Amino acid sequence: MKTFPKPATIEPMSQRMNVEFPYKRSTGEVVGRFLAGLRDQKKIWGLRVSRQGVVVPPQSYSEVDAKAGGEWVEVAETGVVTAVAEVTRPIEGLHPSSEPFAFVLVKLDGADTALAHVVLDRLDRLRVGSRVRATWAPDGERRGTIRDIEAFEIVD
Amino acid sequence: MKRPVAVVGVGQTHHTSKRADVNVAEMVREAVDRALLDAGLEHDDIDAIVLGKAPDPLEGIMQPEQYLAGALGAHLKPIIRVHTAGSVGCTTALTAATHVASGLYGRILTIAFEKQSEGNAMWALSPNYAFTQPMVAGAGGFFAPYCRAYIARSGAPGHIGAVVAANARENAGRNEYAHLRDPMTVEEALNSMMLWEPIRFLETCPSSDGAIALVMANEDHARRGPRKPAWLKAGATFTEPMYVPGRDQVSPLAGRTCAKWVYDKAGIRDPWNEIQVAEIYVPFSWYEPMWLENLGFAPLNEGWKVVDRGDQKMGRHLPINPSGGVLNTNPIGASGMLRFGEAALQVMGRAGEHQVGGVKTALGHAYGGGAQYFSIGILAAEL
Repeated sequence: MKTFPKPATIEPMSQRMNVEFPYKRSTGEVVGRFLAGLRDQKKIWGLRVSRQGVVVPPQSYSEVDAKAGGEWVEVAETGVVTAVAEVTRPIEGLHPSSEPFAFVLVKLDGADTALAHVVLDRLDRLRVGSRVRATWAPDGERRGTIRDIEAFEIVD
Repeated sequence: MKRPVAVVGVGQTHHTSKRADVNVAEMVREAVDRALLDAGLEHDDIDAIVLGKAPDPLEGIMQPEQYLAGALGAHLKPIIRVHTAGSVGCTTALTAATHVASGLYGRILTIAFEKQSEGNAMWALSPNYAFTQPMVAGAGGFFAPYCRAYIARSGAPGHIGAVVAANARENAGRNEYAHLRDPMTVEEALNSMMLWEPIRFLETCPSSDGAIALVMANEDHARRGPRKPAWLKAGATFTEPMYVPGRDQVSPLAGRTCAKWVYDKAGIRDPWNEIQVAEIYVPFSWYEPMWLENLGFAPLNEGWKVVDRGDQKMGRHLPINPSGGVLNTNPIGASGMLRFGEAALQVMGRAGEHQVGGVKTALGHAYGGGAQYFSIGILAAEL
């Protein structure tokens, strides 16, 4: 059998590539009402759905039995932290803050599920069980996103 | 199939260019709710869920099988996701069928969807691939050379593509779920802008938002259901890598192999005379004559003559795509399952205004990738 010379290059090679693409996602009615509540009312709405209790942020269907619909319930802007993940060295442009911060799950008063959000200040006092309150983006700057709630702050 | 499998429920959305009123889960649930209602079932009756859609970059939802699990009623049930590009809808239905045929599941909910308005399928499918020259072609740019090669070797006259498109539009006018339904003449198609030689604007598929869901069941459940089932006589998928030596991109071997396999399993010796209606995957007009040959409905290089004679029209020898097909409705991930589901509706006798008379056997077909994945189901009125 004829043999061929090996390729000249033997060190590991790689190529850089970026894959980036824009999207525009429809909220649908349920998520849309929740986000409009943040933007227009500074209120946090949940949905009482089949076999799941009051879900915040609400989804269109029960995750237990797939039933649609439910009763809209306003929950408090205060609640209790159920999980903490502190980010001590944030990555610029990727994380929601350039200063040390914490991702938290907050079970708002009146809700049966916990909402994922951030705590930006007084991290030394933050722990599971801490009481927190929503702080809001100013009027005219709320765009109908989850960050219309700027963050949660620790309540003494 | 090792054990008989039937389609017992069909549900689809009214397909359109933009469903801004619903999110992906809500759009998918419209089809699911209709399929369950059609089958006389509820989520509790379903044993497993099989989901299919085109690649994630189309809407940018990472792992839709995770995002949709709650909406699809997957709690404490198996859910799997199928990926085979444009053919995925038909492959997904066949994956659901093999799960039923295994004997492990009695009733399966299978769903396929695309919400093209949330992204841009043409350019999302043309990313920069490492190590090779990016073509930035989109599907039309990719498939047009194959159509040119077909015309060159078959000697097909130039108007055939426009005839296909006008006939598909006429059919879509009878399908209340179709996306494009306004009347369109051959002349209008011929006079529309040339996008990718030889494919003109009105000879190409639209971008659609839509979903379809099917309930598939074993023989016992199918016979006890409220409606006449559509029996799956045979189903198969075959694949062909891009650079196989001697590859024929115009009439790929994988497609011909897939067709022969299902005809053999279904006991069909003469598909042109033993099949009464076919829903085949035609995203660009010229693919109709190409697939008529690939599927064995016409001899090599003579598929265009079927179109020229009009034998593929409603009321003629073998109506092709009475639903209006992909040329008029293209929620990509759903498009293959729409072919399969429409074939099922035809043998059930429930296709509405686009019902073909006397259908005993129907074919549903899809292809995907660079004409690399082929997926065919043969549906029959009797087991």
